[in-house]
Amino acid sequence: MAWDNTSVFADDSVEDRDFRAEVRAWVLANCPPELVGRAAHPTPAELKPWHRRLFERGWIAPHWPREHGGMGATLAQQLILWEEITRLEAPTPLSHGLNLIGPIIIEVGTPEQKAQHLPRILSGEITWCQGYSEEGAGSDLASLATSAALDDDHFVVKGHKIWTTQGQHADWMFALVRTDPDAKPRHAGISMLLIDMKSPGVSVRPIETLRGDAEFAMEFFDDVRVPRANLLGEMNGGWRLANMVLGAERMVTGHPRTAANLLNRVRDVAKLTGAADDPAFRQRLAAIEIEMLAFSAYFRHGAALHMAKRAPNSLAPVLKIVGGELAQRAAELLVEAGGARGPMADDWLIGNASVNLPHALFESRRFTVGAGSVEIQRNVIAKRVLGLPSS
Amino acid sequence: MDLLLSEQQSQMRDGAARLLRDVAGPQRLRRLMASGRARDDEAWRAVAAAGWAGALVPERFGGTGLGTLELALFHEEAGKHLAATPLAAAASAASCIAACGNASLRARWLGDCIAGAKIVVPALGGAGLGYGTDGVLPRLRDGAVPLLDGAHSFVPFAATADAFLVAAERGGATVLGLAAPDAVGVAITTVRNVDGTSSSDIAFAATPVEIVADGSTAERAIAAMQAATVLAASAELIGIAAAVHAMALDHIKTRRQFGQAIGSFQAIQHRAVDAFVAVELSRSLLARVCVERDRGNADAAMIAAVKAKSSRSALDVVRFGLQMHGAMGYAEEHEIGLYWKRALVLSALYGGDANHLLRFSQLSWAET
Repeated sequence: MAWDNTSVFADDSVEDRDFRAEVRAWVLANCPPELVGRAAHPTPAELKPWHRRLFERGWIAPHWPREHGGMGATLAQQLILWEEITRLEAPTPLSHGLNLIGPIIIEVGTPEQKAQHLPRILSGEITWCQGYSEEGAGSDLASLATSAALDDDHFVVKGHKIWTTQGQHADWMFALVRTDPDAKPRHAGISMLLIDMKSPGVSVRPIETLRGDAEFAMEFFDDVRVPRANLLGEMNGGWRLANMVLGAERMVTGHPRTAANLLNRVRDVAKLTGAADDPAFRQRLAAIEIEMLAFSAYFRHGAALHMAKRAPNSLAPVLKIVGGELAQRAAELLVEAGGARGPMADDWLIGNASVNLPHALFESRRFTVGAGSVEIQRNVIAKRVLGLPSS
Repeated sequence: MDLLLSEQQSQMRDGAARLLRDVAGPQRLRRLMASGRARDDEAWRAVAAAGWAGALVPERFGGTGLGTLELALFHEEAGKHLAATPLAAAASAASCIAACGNASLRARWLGDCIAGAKIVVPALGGAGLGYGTDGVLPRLRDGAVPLLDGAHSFVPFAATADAFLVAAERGGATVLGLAAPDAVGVAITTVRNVDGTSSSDIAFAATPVEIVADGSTAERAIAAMQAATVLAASAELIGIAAAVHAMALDHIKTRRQFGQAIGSFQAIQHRAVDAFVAVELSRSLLARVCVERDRGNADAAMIAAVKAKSSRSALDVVRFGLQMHGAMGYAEEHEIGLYWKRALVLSALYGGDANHLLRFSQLSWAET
């Protein structure tokens, strides 16, 4: 199988087919060559010129309403843009602002917050990071302890955040902080604050990953004063905002494209090493590809239901579980396809692309851990979908 | 997830569910097995009376002109209700007679097939559709009356068939012929399966047959019948998986140990979720491939993927269900065992997970 966005279970309407062709051609012509094949975490500085081009083309925020500078695009068009960029294993534009905090600001922000932040998210001038996890609060996010105490017209923030993707580069952080230490249940005492990372008292320490680069960071807040006007939404209403998965974000976290790119690479590498001639290897690949086919069908089915406003509660967690685990298995098979050269530290040259197999594998760890581990997703389905009782 | 069905498709599925609640189910299956009868004639008459036997026959030939998706909707319900109905075999054979047969053949067979008065069963074989099916087709000798030599293995519903549509080979080209079970030289050896169904080896020795189609027409007709029967078996497997999953959920919500429902334990919850995901993905894949098939887009690799995935999922989900039921799952008295037995038969029918995995692999590498 060659996994292309149009080769398996394409659902594009006639107009969408034209749009996809237009996007494909434009992305090929405009995506900076140094970013092609580099989906994994370029720095914001490397990403900004690409972000800027999409912004100038008017394609930066397909999922945002027009009144806020977005395209007001259909979900199908949103997916097309995302799929055609990721098809080249190129990075999508600065996503924390566009996909995570931007939509929440649009939903609940004050007019001042919208005016201050939305244009700068669109232009890429300001980059954002997400301050959720803490050392003692990972899967059990509601136990977070970083406190924000009101002092007149300011919050005084004290504590730390960790595993913050691109935290060392971000200009602003949207953070979950504890504004009521006595709240029961605990998540009822959490608020969302927008924090300028240049504020006095903020210090940042990059964290190196297995791949050897600093993809995320740890931030310390030492009595950082944050204007009360930077409270997003209601006081103690942060939990609801953090759980708002808006628009296409639900459909791209766990999109089959991630696994598809890896499986295409598996075939490339298998042909080079001879794994492609090994029946045992081919059987294992076939097993994953059949899962991939099933997942692609499920994804298109879910997207169609989403567009018909009939998506079930199970859709987002199933996408995360299957998309994550499948991509991870594909990454594992990629290294195996390399045989004795699989664990090589240097890149492989495949056509014009250079691919680092272990890095692809290391990168895949995040698929089953980030944004709610697959175990937490299973708990969610057990309770909310299958109606199983709590212990 | 809900399938994206038209109003008419939803009604057909609901109608099939109501029908099968009446003429199938665990108790009825037990009675049928105890009686030693090979087929539930009353159930088949009810299925045919509802118009299903002509589902794949175009309306201009008196059928209802439906597609593989509708057939799959019926068979998922059949799986849920343990109905071992020959519908997919009979409906795809009727469709083949309508598409390929000459006026005389149609006049003699089609009306009875659509009414359910006669059941024609495809005997196609084919490489990659299970161990012992090597793709060697019976050979047809030309003559005033063409004569057939050879055999087909593992043909379901053959024991009670009124005729066979036989895939054969003549001078290197594929032909499709109609043979009567009581014709000269036909020897049928039937093996009873653990779930009450049966499967037969059919041997032909200088058996006279009537040619229905040859060349590429025959190949297309064979592929269409294989697709319909394989997809229908997959749909039944998914129905079984869905029924067993529901049964297991009911059980773990009510069965109490250590002072609480066992469904409150995370070890059990996560297995229940994985079983749920297996059913969801299998059903989406099946439905999608049926839709593609009905649009003329589904290739053989996709159909192989469906059978591999649904066979694996059904066995996995049934294993989960059995485990949840503890010792009860090992007791003949509990109906979950009936579902397991049916899943074993259907997952092996037309080739199982391993066979279709290999087939998918061969087809998908051949593409590139």
